[in-house]
Amino acid sequence: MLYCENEKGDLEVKKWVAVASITGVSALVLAGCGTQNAGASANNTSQTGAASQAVKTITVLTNRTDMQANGMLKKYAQAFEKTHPGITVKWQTFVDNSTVQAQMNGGTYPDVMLILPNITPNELPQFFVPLDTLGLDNKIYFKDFQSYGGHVYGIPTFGDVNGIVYNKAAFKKAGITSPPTTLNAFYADCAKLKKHGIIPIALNYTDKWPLANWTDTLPNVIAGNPNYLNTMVQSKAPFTPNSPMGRALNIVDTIVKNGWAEPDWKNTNWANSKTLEAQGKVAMMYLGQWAIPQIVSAGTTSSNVGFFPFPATNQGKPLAIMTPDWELAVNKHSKNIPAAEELVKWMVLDSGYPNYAGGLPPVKGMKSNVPQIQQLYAQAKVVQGVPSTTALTQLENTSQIDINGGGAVQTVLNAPNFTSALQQLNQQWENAASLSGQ
Amino acid sequence: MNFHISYKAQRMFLILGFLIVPLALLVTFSLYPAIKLVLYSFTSWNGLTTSYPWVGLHNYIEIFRNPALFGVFIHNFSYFIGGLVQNVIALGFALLLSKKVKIRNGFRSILFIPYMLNAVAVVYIFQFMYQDNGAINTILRVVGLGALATDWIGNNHVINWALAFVSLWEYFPFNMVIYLAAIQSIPEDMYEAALLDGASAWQTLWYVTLPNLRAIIQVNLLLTVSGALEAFNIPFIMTNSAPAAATFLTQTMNVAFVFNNYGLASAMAIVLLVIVVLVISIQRKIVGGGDDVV
Repeated sequence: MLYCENEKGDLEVKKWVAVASITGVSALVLAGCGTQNAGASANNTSQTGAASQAVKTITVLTNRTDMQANGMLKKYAQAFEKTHPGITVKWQTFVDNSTVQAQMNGGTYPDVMLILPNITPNELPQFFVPLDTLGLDNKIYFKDFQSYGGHVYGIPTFGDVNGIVYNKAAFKKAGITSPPTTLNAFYADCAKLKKHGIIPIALNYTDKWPLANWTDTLPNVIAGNPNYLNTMVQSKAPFTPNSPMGRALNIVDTIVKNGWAEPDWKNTNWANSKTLEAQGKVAMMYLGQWAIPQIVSAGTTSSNVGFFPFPATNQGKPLAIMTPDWELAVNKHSKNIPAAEELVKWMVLDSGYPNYAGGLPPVKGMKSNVPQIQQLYAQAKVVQGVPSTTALTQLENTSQIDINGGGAVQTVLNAPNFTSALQQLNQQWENAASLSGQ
Repeated sequence: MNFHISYKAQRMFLILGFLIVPLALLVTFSLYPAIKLVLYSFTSWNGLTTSYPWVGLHNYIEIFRNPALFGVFIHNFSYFIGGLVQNVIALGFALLLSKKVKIRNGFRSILFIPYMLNAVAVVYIFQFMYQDNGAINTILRVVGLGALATDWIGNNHVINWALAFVSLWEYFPFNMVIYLAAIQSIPEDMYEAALLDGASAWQTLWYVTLPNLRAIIQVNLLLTVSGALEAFNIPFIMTNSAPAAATFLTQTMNVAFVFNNYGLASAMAIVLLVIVVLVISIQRKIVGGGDDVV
């Protein structure tokens, strides 16, 4: 059964709700009198048909606990319910992936889901319905990011693009007139900033996730190929110093060795650093566009915050790779699949959430409200990212090298010797590859 | 209606009736998860799918072969030493406070405060103290010991001892209170007898107090040693389980929730259990003590 836009007026819907609730109540009352009567009333309900449509409740998973606290989620639910009478939206927030994972393993999870980062493409059909029929295919970016066997299983909530978020006043104070476009110029600027008593670049080591860009984006930028990470599975030793991965790790290691990171870089976090960057005490951070509004609201003006692509090499325009953030999916076991699909569609097209989140709107032609993105686009070759293959994710897990979460960067920076740290990673990689080859 | 049930049957019925609830709880929340844990440890389950690929002993071999997993026990070692020191300090304070000291109760309350504090808050306090411009370094510099000031979290040689100290500071009051209670329950006439026999204070301590505390020392060591092997919350909150401070438990978490290898993580949990049991048996052999405890 395909769900269609409800064309009935408000009044009529209220009537149906009333009918439904009366049938419901009578069913309850009659249930006490004996099975035959209860069965009869159940028949009545199914005959009225539309009544069951009037009481659809869908549970929607979201990671935005902040939006639950500030009431935005409630507003979204009301806005959706207004245009889609007969559907009630119930939000479910989560902080820890593992709680959702336990629900999924148990088979009872929200109707509208977020695709957890550890779900490999081949597992998508086990949990979600294909969303090919939503009619979004030509309207959105990243449409095949979460797909398997030719079917789309996830629709992005918004997109991200990574680059260096910098404080313009700090750059001016150090005598830097324009953002660096080569790696050498970047190093020179770091030295200048340090000389002027400004922390050149904050890494946020303790938080771990802010380190992820150094291994899951920068190697692709260096290779000039958004698919580079996926090709690592064919290599026995992808962590050699001259490989894109090795060069990326070398850049972050150079930053630390030269004292261009925070003085106590092993005890730093994003919440602290964003205030420092707003104040101009920290000049740069390698994050996504989403960080810009947060730094602005930590105490500076939007015009003081700039954004440029990481100058990963010494020649050519650097890549800026767009990747989707969380993706929405619909639970395979949901009783209200059509209603859940409507919500997915609404979230992407009509909710205004991508801009609220400070992300790249996933819909083609929709404008972002983060002006700095244009600055980054002007200096970069913008390409769409490529999803991780199942093989890559499995090899990462078996080798226990955390490329996507920043753990690998922590390991390398913590090691006493850079070269031997890379050798160790290569060893782990090779062992894991030989295991999965069996 | 008249029930004709023998006394024996009534007894059985009653016993079963009373046992059924605790047994159901025990099975549901203790035995079933434990059995499941053992079963998972022989699979490579990823925590998500409904397939549980059987891998035999592979997970157990992996734990001992991979230095990143078993090697972190070296970090737990500092907590172990810290735990021993913690017991010495706790016993020392307990002995002092069992004497008639002025404002004894005031001292007791002050010393007990660290244990009353929220564990997370304690870790945050130390996070600030351990910063480069934090309290510890500032004081060291003021008193002219600036050479000792270091980056307590950043220095790989220091970090685990710094974290073990937090653990010591937070948990010694608990040991102290147990020692104190035990000391006070030693019969007064034993001391009187010792006094009549002309025992010195040192002899009283060595031949009367400590032998009476043997069982309690055993219990306290058991708690601190297993605590040291299972050190988790302090490195987790203070450093987000960074490589330099990873313990066996934070690695287990990592394996399960970052690398989605619940099978391997289950095997690690079981290995930890076996190690705890081993260490405790060794400790019991060394310290001795009654068989009535633990």
